[in-house]
Amino acid sequence: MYLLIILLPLLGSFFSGLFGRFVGFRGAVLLTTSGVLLSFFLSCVAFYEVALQGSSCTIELSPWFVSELFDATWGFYFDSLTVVMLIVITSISSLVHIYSIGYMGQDPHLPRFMCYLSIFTFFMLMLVTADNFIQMFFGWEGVGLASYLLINFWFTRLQASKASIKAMLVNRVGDFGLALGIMAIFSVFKTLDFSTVFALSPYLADTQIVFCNLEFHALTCICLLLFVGAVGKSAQLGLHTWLPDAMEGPTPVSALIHAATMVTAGVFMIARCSPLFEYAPKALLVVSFLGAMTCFFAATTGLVQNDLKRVIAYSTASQLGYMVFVCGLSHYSVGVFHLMNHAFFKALLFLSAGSVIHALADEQDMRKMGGVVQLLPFTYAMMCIGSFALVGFPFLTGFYSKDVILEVAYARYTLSGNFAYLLGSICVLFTSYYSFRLLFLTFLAPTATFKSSLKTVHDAPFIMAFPLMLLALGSIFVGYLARDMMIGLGTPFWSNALFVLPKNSVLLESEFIPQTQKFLPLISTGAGAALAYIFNISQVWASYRLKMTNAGKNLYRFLNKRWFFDKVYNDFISENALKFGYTISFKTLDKGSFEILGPSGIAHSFINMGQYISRLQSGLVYHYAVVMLLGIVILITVISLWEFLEILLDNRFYFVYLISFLFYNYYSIKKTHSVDG
Amino acid sequence: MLFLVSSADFISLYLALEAQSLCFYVLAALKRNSEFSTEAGLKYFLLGAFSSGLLLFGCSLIYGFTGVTNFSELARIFTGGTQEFLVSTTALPACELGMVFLLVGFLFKITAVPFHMWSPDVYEGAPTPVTAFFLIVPKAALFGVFLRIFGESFYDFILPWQKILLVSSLASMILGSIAALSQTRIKRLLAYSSIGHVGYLLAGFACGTIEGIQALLIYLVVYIFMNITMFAIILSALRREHLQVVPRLKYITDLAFLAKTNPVLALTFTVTLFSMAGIPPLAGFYSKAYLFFAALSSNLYLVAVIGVLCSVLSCFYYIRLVKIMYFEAPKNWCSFSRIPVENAITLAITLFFILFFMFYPTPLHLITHKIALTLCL
Repeated sequence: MYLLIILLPLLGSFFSGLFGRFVGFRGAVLLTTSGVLLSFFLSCVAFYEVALQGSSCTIELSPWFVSELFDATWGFYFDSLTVVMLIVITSISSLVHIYSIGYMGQDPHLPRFMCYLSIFTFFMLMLVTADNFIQMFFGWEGVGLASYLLINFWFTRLQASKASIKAMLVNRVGDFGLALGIMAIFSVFKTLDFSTVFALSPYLADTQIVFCNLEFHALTCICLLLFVGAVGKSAQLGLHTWLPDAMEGPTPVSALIHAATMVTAGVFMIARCSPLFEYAPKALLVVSFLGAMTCFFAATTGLVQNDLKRVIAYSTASQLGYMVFVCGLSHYSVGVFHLMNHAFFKALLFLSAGSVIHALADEQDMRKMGGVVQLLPFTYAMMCIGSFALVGFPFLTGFYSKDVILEVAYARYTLSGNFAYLLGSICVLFTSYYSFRLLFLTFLAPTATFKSSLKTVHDAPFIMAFPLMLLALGSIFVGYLARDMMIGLGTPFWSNALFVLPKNSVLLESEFIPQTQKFLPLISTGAGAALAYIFNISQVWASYRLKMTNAGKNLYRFLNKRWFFDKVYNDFISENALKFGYTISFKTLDKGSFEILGPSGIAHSFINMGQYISRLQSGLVYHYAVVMLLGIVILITVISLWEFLEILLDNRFYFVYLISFLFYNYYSIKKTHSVDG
Repeated sequence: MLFLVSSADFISLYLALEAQSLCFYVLAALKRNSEFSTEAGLKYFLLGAFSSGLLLFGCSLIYGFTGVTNFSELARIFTGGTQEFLVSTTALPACELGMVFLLVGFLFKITAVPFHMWSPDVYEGAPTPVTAFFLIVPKAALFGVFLRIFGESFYDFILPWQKILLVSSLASMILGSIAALSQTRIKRLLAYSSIGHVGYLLAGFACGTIEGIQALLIYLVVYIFMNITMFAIILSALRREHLQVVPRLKYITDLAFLAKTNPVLALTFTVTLFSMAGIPPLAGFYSKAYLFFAALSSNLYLVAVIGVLCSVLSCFYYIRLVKIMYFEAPKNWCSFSRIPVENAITLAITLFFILFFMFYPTPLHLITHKIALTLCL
């Protein structure tokens, strides 16, 4: 059964991808969707068995690489963390599958799309169920690949291609870090098996590794490298640029990958490696700082974006920031809890946004929307629920996790705790502002839509509405239902899946912080909503005038252009890298040195030598006799002076001889050519 | 030549060699009217005289210091306890020198670098059947007798002669493959390619082990077969421009379009060339592989590596011939006239050997192993 959970999406993808032509639209849709749905039901059973009944299990399938100490196997590990992720992934994935039937119904490549969605689900499941780092890395790369394919699904669109390449490249940076981290783990622990590594981490907490003659704390290094991977995948500050661009893909993809599942892989990985991170306090510091900064950065940028999906994308990045910094504060359970909640309401938001976009004939600019509340009442309701859950309106899902995050941050009383708390609570205001701005601009503001698209506007058909309803239910109730189970004080839910040093846990203290701090998020939420109302509905002109002042303009530009991150990356890194690639790697090395050493150099010099030698064959007898005489002399020399010649024939010199020979010939050819010319 | 192989004494060796050479000089100048042929004969004669002078000098040096001309007696002198006696009388370096001269004479006869200079001219100038004879027959005899001398009599001088053979073999391999790159006449090309092959053979010789000698003998047999095929093709008459008939192939461009005019012959030629270049399933590959394994097993890594590289290089010109046959449009049209029955039968037999050697190499292995054992013990 456990294996079926993972296998079913793969089978669905296999059949719809390779035999999509034969099974047709209906067949492909049926195969993939039923595969993922079945997998969801089985995950529910697994959740019951593993998480609720507390019987985690490991399945050893077969060896993968066996080489001395290196012991990567195909194995699966199911504990509470895994099954929570399983539930999240399979539920969101199956709803997205169902939604896509409606959303992508007109697309001629529907089977391919379904195949990609399922293969993505498979890789994601592989990632979360892995029992060693290598297999996790396999899943990690696999989701990267699937994300590339899905963003680039409409491959004739230039923007989509660019965005997918960007996602791939930026993720490569992160993957590189992760791969280094895994190698470092192997060099320290001599194994990559999760259980062994985690069991050994307290004993190896003080190990040092030597790199470039400098000693580093091993676990800190490992954790930082792993975190680089998480930064890439979870779009943290620095490697976040791919996430907003990835919105070029179809909307269900954005919902599935860029909100609910793939981007949470980083958070999942940090939570999974909690036993390592716990023994690397410095790494935790970095994690929480970077998370808080991401949260702040993304929230501010989200304030002034005009693309409907981009706003939601930045809100995703911001929420990921929350998750990461709370993990950095050692409260992995809260992070995972927020991850789960976030998956539901963010998928809801994205799918509703997709529904709006679908209704308004693929219009994504919020400034060209407005006033569709009467025309799309259902979508409006869904969007409302999603937004309220996102901003942490009391008793909705987001409330339970977000407020706990802030309370925990406040109760830490450390540098990172205070920093995170400060940025986190400002972000609450921002979150509320952009969420409500989105609502107002899209649904309530005076309409600015084209007449042609308004004519054909329609609410979501049932097949698209159904997933929305389920997600709305999830957005309302999941937080309430799961709160005590997952982050209640002293809950046995996580058992050994997450590890927190006792001195790092402040869940208890967070219950006793001042009452004002507990109400602060709620107040800022209200304030954000009010501000959004003032700026976008009632006092539009005032906000316009504010925007047109000099400072306002600069600020607006700064935020709207995403703090100029892309600009800086393009101008200072990408361009130089490209230049380097062209002049150094391509022109100097590949077409220069390697060409001389390789094909053309060898060809030239040998043909040259061939002609030279045949010229030597003069046809005169006394020349020949002299050569023979010389030959005898050389041979006698070789014998009698062997001790001396031996030094010249040292093995290590061969390479030098070869290279100098080739270069000599190349230049002599050049010289003769230039003389001829 | 049979006399040469069975000689057991320096005098009989020298006499046999000279008699053989004399025949060769005459053979090379067989066509008295042809300028090339007479030139070839003359050159061969002069240089041959030079080299047999060296050979004789080597023999006399050895005789002078040991007083013995018989091979097995020499072996008894050089092995074991008597060496101290020789060292004390400074006879050892002199014998070594004599051996070097002997070796030089030998290297000259088998056209190894740097004593190869005569071979392209002579091979090209001599009439083609004679060239074929030169290329194929004397090598076997010479290798036979010299394997005996150096394996039996001078085995205790292995260090110096191994070095000489190594140098000569490396130089032959390199020169053979490089110089052949720029040849346009097929006989000259074959002359250089045979220099390269001699290099490989010498590499086997230089191993000085049973495996080395066995590999050498296998290579020799395969080499002979390949060359027979080659010359059987070259000796077939050509009809140029449908007008005049020329008795033989001269330039490599004459082969152009062969794949269209005579596909079976082209295929045969291609297989032979591939075999010479050492492309896997054919006989040439196995012989080369044995050689390199033998070289590796006696720690001659440099030789093996350079040998492989040179065989890559030689692939270039062999395959260029194939390319000319299959892909190039001819400048002047020429086609083979009907192939004589004798040639056809020879071709069939040798091609059969080249193609199917891989299925049943055991007899050759056994025979060569026996020979190698008798030579070494």
